[in-house]
Amino acid sequence: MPIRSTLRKLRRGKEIVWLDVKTNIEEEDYPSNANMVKGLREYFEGTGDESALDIFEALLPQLTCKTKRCRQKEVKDLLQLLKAKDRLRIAKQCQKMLKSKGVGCLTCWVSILINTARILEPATIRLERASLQIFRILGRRIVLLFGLEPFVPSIAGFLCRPSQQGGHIG
Amino acid sequence: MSDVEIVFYINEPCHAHQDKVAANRLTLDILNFIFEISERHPGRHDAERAQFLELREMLKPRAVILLEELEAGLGELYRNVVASFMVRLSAAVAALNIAEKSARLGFIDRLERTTVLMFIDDDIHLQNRDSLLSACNHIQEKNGVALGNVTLTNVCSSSSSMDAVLCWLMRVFFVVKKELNMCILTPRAASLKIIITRPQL
Repeated sequence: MPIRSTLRKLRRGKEIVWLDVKTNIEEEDYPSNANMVKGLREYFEGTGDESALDIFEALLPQLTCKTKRCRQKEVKDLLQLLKAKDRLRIAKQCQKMLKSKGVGCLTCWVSILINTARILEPATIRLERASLQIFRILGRRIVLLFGLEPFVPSIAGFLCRPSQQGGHIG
Repeated sequence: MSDVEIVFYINEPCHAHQDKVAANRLTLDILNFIFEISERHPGRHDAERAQFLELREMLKPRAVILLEELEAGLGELYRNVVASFMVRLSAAVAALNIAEKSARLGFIDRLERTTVLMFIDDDIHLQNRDSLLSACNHIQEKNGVALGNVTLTNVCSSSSSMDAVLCWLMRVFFVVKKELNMCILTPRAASLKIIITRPQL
């Protein structure tokens, strides 16, 4: 079973307990995170090669839209800055990434829109039916303009005072 | 806790710097003294000697202290510990000479569920002193796992002007890895049963 689905199942079952810990990293030679620090430091100094960036390159294939927060664009931007060795902008990008909830790519946004539409659809249909019903009672026709909230008060005002406003909408 | 055993691994690469070798030997001497494996006192002055004696009185769990070269780092450590516990489990079952297969399986299952393996690095500082104990209870009662929610405080490289940016980069690396459920940092804890049946954890 893939690790991600196993962890997801564990999370659903609330079987994971998280231990809050703090740590620091001191540069070391043997395989560890400390060794990654050494690689990055040598890369910035010009004594190491671009293989130090592999730790971020290796993350890219995993950063699909299926993950909770799509980080693909952010990591790509970070890699570009790393290749340019622009330390100030790297720090800013890192801070941005740590603050952000993840920047969605186009596919992400489309899926968010589709999911939102799925959630809103029944409510929209109900709202539409209710509005038509009200309008039938008032004996008028209306074209519902979804997403134009600023106009809603004026439409409501028009419906409430048809004789003063005069005419029809649509 | 009734039966706790601490296994200390001191990882020393083949060509380690002599300063690191000296530090490792001192660590080994101190641990051997504290856990009553050796009587040779490693304290260099009175205050140190008093401190080590106090720790010797305070810490009673059994300890195994190993100084090895772990070429593959943490991954190799996980592999070695699990393999060692499997051998011990097998020896414990064999020692009991249980003839009936179902009883033998039941005993193995009980041992696997009640044995909790907890991995923790020496540079990991727990935010809550009781968290390890509560994690252990959680694992035994709910058959769960304990993972570390790591906050990186600082990075110390040989070029101090780069420490800040390296720290930011490593923080991002940890956060993204955690979001992907790919982080293998300690602390990690689970029962032997989970480790055998779901080794991907």
